[in-house]
Amino acid sequence: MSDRTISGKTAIVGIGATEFSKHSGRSEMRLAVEAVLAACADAGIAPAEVDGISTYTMDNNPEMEVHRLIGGKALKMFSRIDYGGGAACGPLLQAAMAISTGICECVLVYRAMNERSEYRFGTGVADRGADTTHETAAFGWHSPHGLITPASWVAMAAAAYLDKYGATTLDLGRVSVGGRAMAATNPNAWFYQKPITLEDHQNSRWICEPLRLLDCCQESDGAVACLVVSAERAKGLKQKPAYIRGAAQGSCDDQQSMTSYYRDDMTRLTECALVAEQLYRQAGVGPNDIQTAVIYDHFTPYVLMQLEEYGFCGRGEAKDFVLGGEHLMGGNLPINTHGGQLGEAYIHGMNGVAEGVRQIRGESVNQVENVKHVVVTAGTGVPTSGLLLGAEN
Amino acid sequence: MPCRHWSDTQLTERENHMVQALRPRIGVNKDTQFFWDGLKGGKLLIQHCQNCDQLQHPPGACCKHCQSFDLDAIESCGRGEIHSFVRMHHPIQPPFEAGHPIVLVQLEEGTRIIAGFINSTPEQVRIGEKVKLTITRCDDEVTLALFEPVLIK
Repeated sequence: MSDRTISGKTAIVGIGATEFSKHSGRSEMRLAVEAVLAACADAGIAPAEVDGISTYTMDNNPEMEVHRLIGGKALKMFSRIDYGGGAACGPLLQAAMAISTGICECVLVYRAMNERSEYRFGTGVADRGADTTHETAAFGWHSPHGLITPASWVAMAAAAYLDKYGATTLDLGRVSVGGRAMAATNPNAWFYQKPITLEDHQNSRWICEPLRLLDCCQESDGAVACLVVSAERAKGLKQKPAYIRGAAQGSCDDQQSMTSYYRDDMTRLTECALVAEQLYRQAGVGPNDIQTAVIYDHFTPYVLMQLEEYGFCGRGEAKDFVLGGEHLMGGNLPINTHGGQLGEAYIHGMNGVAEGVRQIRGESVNQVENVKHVVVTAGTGVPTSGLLLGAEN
Repeated sequence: MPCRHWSDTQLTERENHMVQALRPRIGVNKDTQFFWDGLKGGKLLIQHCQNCDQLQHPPGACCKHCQSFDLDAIESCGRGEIHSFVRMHHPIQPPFEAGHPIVLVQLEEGTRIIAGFINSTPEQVRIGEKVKLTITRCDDEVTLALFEPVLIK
C-alpha cells in the first residue's frame, strides 16, 4: 500500500504569470500563452517539452491550442477539473499522477481568464435558460427565490456558521483586513499599498447579508501557469523544487455545488476535511508541521471554516484564531501572504498555488521563516481540492 | 427629437417593469417534475422512498439512502422554522427588491428547503423563527413554496 503514493515523486519547478488587472486588453488565449512561456522560462525548460496539460473545465482556452502555440510536439495527457475554483489544486494532482505513473515527463497547468472584462462570475444565474440538465434543475431550488449569485449561496452557509459559533461579521472583517495587509506590500497585487481597516470593512455596502463588499474577492483579468516534472529531474533545474508531498480532491456527504444546505451539519465543509486528511496522510505530516498556508478566499466566511477543517484550529475557534492575529505575519500561521484573492487577484486559486511555490523557494514578498511545508487550498462550498508542498524530499 | 425628462416617467417605467418582471425560470426534468406539479396543485411535496421510508429534498433519481428507484412523495404539513437566512442586496433585478429576505426552512418532516420569506417584520427574519407555507402563483409558469411567519404582525 505504502509504495502506491504520489508523495514526493514530483515537483513544481516553474511558475509564471501575467500582470493582474481589471482589463487586460488581450485575449484569454494570449494571457494563457504568456503565463505558460513565463513558467517555462522560470523552469529553464523548453515549451516544446510539455507532454501533459491539465486545467479547469471553466477555462476557455483549449489544451490543444495552447500546446500548438507553444510549439508542442506530443501531448500525451490532457484533462480538466470541474467545479470552478474548487478545481484549483486538482490539475496539480493530475500532473503528479501522470508523471509518477510514467505517462508524462513535463505537465503544464494553467488558468487564464478575463473574468472582469469579459466573463464576470458574480452577475448571477437569473437569466439562465430552463433546460432539463441536472445543473439547471439544481439552480431551480434557489434561483426563483432570488438566491442567484455565488455571494448569496455562501451567505446562506455563513449565517448558519456565525450563529452556531457566536462569530460576527467583525471576524469576517479580520480575514479581509489580513488579506489586504499582505497585498499592501506585494507590488504584483491589484491592491498594492492599499490596506484597509476593520472600520472600512464594516462600512462597506451589503452584497448579501451577512456578506459585505469587502467579504468578497476581487474580479480580475490575468493568468498563472505552473510546470511539474519528476523529483529526479527537478534536482537539476534552475529553481529550488517545490515538491508535491500531497495532492487531493474531495466531494462529500450530500454535496451540492455552492448550496450544501441539506447535509446534517451545514456549517461543515466536510469535503475540505476529506482533502486535508488525504494531504496529511500522503505527506506524513500534520497541521502543526505547516508554516504558512494559502487558504482560498473567494469569500471570507469560508476562510474561517477552512481553518477549522484543515485542523489549524478547533471547531468554532477560527474567530479566536483571527482575533489573535494568528493569520497575520508573525502569527502562528500567516495565510495568503500574496494578499489572496481579496488582495492580489482572483485567478481562480492558481495564483495561490504560485504563492505556495514562492514560500517554499523563499521568494515571497511576505516570506515566512523556515518554511518546510505549505498547504494550498481550493474553492470551497463546491467539490474541492488541495495541495501540500514541501521544501525537501 | 422629443425631450425626455428624468422625472416621473422614469419612475413609472421602473414600476411597470417591477410588475411585469418575471422570476428566474426553472429547469424541470423527469426527476423533479412531480415537485413543481405538486405546487401548481396546491401541495408542497417531499420525495419519499417506498423501500426505506426516508425522505429527501432536493429530490433525486433514486433514494440517496438505499438506492431504491421506488419513489413517491408525501405532502408536507407546511410548518417549520428558519434554519438560516440572508438578505439579498446586490445584484438586484426586478421583481426582487433590495434587502429581500431568503430563508432556509427546516420543515417539521426533517428536510430543508430554500424559500422567499414574505409578510415578515425585520425582527422575524431570524434563525429559529416559526414559519408556515404559503404557496404562491408568481406567473403562468412559476408557482413557488414561499413562507411567512406563523405570527403575522
